[in-house]
Amino acid sequence: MHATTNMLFEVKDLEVTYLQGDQREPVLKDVSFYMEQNETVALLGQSGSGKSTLAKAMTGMLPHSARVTSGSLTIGTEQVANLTDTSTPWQRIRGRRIAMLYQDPRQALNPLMKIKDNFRELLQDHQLASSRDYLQISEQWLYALNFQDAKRVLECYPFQLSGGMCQRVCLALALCLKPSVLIADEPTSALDIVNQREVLDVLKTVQKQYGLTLLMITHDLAVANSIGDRVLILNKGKIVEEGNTKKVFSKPQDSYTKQLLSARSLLSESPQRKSVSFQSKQKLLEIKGLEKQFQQKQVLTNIDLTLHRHEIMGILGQSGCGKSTLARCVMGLETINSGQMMYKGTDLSKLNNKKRRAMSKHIQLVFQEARGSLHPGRTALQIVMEPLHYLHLGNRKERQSLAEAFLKEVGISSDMHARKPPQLSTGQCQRIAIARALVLRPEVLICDEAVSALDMHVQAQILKLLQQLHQKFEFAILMISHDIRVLRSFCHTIAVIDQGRFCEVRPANALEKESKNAYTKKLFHSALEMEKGLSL
Amino acid sequence: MKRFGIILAIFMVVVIVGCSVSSSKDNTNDDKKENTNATDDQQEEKSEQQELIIADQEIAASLDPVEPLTSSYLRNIGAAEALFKVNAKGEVEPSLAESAEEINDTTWEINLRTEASFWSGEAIDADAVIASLERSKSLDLQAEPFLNELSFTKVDDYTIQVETEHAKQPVPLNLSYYQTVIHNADKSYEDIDSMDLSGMYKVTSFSPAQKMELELNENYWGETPSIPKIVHEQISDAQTRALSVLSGSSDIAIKVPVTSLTQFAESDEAETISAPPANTQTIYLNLDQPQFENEKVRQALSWGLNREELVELGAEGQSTPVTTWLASNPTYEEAKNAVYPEYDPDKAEALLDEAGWGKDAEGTRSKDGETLTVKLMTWGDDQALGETIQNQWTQIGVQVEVQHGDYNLIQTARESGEWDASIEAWSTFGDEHALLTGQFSPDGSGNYGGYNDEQTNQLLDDLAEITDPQARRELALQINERVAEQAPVISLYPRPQLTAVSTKLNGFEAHFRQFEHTVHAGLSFGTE
Amino acid sequence: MLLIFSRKILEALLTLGLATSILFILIRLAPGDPVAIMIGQSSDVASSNTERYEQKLLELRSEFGLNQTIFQQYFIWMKQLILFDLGDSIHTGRSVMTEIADRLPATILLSVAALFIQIVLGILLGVLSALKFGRFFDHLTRFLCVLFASTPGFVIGLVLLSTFAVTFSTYEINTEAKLSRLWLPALTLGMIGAPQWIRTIRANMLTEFGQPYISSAVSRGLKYRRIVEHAFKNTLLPIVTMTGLSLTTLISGAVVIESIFSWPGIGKYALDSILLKDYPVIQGYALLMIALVIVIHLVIEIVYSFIDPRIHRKGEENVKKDY
Repeated sequence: MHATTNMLFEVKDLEVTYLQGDQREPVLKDVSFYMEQNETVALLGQSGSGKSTLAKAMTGMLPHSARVTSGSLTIGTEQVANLTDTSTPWQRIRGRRIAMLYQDPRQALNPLMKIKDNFRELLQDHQLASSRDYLQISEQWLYALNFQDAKRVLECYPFQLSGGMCQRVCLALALCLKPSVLIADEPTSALDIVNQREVLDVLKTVQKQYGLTLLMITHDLAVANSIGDRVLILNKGKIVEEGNTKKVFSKPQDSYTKQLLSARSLLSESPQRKSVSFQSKQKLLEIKGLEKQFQQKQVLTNIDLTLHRHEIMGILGQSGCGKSTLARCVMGLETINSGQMMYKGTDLSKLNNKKRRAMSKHIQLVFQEARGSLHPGRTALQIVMEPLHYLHLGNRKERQSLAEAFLKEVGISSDMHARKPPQLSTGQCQRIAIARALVLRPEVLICDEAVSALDMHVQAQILKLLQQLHQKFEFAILMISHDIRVLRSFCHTIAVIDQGRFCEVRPANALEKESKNAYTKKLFHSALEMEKGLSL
Repeated sequence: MKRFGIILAIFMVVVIVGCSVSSSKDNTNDDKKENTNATDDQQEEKSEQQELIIADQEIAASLDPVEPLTSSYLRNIGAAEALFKVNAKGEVEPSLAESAEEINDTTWEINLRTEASFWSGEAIDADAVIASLERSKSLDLQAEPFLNELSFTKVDDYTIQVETEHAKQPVPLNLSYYQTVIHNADKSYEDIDSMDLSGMYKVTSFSPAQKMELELNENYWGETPSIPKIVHEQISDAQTRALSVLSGSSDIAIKVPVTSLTQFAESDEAETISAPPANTQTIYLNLDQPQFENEKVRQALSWGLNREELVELGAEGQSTPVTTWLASNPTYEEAKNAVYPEYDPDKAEALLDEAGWGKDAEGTRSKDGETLTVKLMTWGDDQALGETIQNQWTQIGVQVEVQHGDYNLIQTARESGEWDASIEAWSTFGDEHALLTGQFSPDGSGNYGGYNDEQTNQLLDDLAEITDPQARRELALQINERVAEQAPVISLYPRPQLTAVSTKLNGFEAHFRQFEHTVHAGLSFGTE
Repeated sequence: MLLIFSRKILEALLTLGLATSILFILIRLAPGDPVAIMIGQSSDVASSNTERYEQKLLELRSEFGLNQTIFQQYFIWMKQLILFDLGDSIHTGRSVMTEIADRLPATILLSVAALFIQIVLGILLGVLSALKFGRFFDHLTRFLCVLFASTPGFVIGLVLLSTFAVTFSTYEINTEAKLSRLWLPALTLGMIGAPQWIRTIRANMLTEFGQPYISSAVSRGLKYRRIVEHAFKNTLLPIVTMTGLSLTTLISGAVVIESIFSWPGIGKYALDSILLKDYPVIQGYALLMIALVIVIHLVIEIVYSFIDPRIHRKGEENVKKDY
């Protein structure tokens, strides 16, 4: 392999199989790679490519059902582990030599422990501090990671911190053992764009400052692009391409890499929407002065929104801004505290339950968790027939043919009609969820982060599908998302929501240029920074 | 972790505090026990064990003898006495009374013991006895049948004259029932200090539904018992009662389950004693139901029962079959096999055919489209019995459904009239006329099925008039037989009654009414 | 805070009132007449004079106020209740309050002791079983759990009683509630209840082991013991809930075990009273049990908020803005 002088970290001939039923499924096949000192390597792969298994194998944390059939791990000049050997003294390697960073930083910290207790345990277990001086040491590390108020943070529980802060705390916990290698497994994908930037910036800084060798595992081309010196592309357990990030992204060799990049560019045909005026069209949904509180906490303040026939409106906001609550209010899943919510002249908030339920024929919702929103014990066909059954539409035969028609529309072939959600991919599940919503021929479709949980190329496919369906059936869409790229490429109009208020509502193609709102600008800045250099 | 430790610690504290509270209470008890033991030891060094512990299903619910069942329990443990008592052979003997004499057909004279006194020391004279009986008569519904037709007058301080409404009423027998125990009517029965009875033991402590403790009554008129202390404990679980005797925790357990017989057979600690009790397990039929209208059907049901098997399966073999109701009374043993001398299913089938209940190919009988069914209600320990009956009757083509449940269900069903048959066991010992009218006259409270037979009614009226004991006896037998032939009820066997007794205890006497004749002066502890 | 407190109290009272009034009506709708049961139960010899019986029945009914309408009876009961009087038992004539006060401590003592055994067994075996997941110890524990959970309580009780009282003569059978007699019924109840605890704790531990914070702790090279502690801390929350629920079940449901060990608790008394239709006792008992359930649930909530910072630190979410 590459004989480099300052090669620090090397994985050789790694093969991992999982026990599935009675058979052993190979998950990683012949994976070899190296990292140089102070180098940042991005490992890019979609879900199911085996990238998390790789991370686990490198720290000896594979589950019981997995088996390493070959592979070795070298740090510096010393082969620290024969990965097939189950008796490796991992406790001396983990944390001290290889540190890990996890996807969801809030869940990566014990919810019942204060931050300082995390430090105390860690420093004591590794004999780096006593019960007296650990506070001082941990404070220093927090300051090093851009915390202004380290003393207070130490007294906090994870739930009192933002996701970005939690990830920085995790990073501090990792760094205080002074490891030489840091493996970050999707450290930003559970965060919204602002927090994402924050963490990536910090990672870059500390990597330089402490001379870390960083392996960045991600599914996001933008993340890989913004941080990686080199990039490894993992597909179906094999490294299909590796090389200098810029080189790989500008001149991809492998067909899979090409496919990934084209999926991305599909989203980025921005702004593909012409400025369309909907003023003349019928107003479907008109919300005025909507307010919503949860136990004295203001969640939505003075929301005004008008959705016209055939319009696609995007609602852009970070997690916790109240955008999902808004969707739930429109659906009638939450009662509103004040304001008007007119649907074609009828005030939805004043309807009784029965009439409200009848309204659901006209307004339908698609959720983020595609698989979770489907009954796991029902077949695809049954799932799509269900709303028809509830609203007593047609006889059994009519329902079935209607459901079959819509499954065809969303691209679910008839051989999959009898399958149940656990036997279907996430993308297929989301297609079924869309069919279920559309089978009632609604006039408004609300998509609450409907593509956020999907892999890049699946995301592109679903968005394309939605666009086609929108053309064909002429419904209006309320697209709720945190992803600026998705909304920009997909919507006519975008409303930006921050802390329960609308900052501004503008046509999608004009938003970037015309916006004067500081929050919107920050969002754009964070998003576009990472795209720089990606071949668009 | 720390918090969890705190929670654990709190738990520990609660447990320890809880325990120490109750154990400190116990300590005082123990102290008392030791003290009394010490004094007892000085008095009586021969016997080692000082107290006799009786485990019972229930103890007295109150201290007042006029409350239901209270006097029965008080009498059982030697605290209360009636003027007369019935010995193990079924003969009436004087007890608190010295003697009784029949002056004429409607008058008796009872002589009291001058040496007898209540626990308080007050004399049990004619006034006290009459006051006691009058109190029972007015307050205790259960005493009513025995005292209602008697009137008492004082002759002198220690002689009472009893007038009866009808000729030849069995006055000593009536005054032997537990409902007529003699108590000091002037006293309050709210607590143990004021209650005043005459038994050889007096109550020293009482925890309702838990236990009652008694010690020797120094003023007792009769033979002084050798055991100084009695403890009557309520251990409601039958199996636990059996274990308590087996383990030596108690000396006598009343009503132990037949299922524990093997354990006693293997044990050296204790044995079981079973005297055939004077009661009859009886199937009562609701004569208002159309299928029971014809006496042939009822007779068939009686012929169709293999009573030997019922005893084997329903009572673990601890009883003997009887075919007529009165036969479980020790003085009417000869009626045991009257009327239905043997198990005869063929006869039963023939009778059912005659009654018009034809048998179809599957073996069920029906008439005019109605199948012959019996819904049999059982309660208590009678589930196995019910199922055995079901099996036997099915063989002669009767469809039986057994419904086992709470006694309330039977009571409710009877009130509504929607029942076919139920099993119950009434006492068969006592005055024949009272017993038989209670069961078989149209007004009898034990006549659930509405049996109303002219001939039987006439015979019952005759029985009331007859004075000659022999003739009375014969007439009673005749009525008993008449009823058995008519079969409004079907008699099965005396409900067994097992008592477990420690082998250390000497002098235990088996009695057909064991539940109120356990303690007597002849009991003693000894090594055998 | 005061508002929340008073609302909780109001809710509790409402629940109590509603539950007792439903029960008040229900027990009266059920078949069976307490007076008839009381004077009829001991008839040893059937009498032929039913007239006097009927008369006595009516007398007693009016004495206990049972001839009034349900609403009148309820009103009277409520009036007594305000004066902390639960009335007198129809069957024994004694004050229900005293009877309950005499028996409740024994039941609580037994329940708490049993709960303690359940928790200790549950935590010990549950955690160990989770740590030895899939190994012999785990299988053995699971087998024993199934065995004990599927054996009726009275069988376990009788076997233990027979073993310790008869075979080893180390256990005394009487009716006292003392320390030397506590261990065996407590052990029995503990053994009956432990499987549920073991299984729940094992399952919770395994769930926690699958959480990212555990992998994260492992990847930081923490000691094994620490990692187990981390997971255990998080299983404490369901344990608190279970403790409350188990305690309620134990206090109200130990009838069979109390009866087998002739433990003078409230279970047997309540059961007998139900069979005898002794209305005042049933009502008093129900009131007490409902109140107990409410109190226990309140305590759970308090303990919960004490353990879970997410509840008691609710108002302090202000640290999020840092940069």
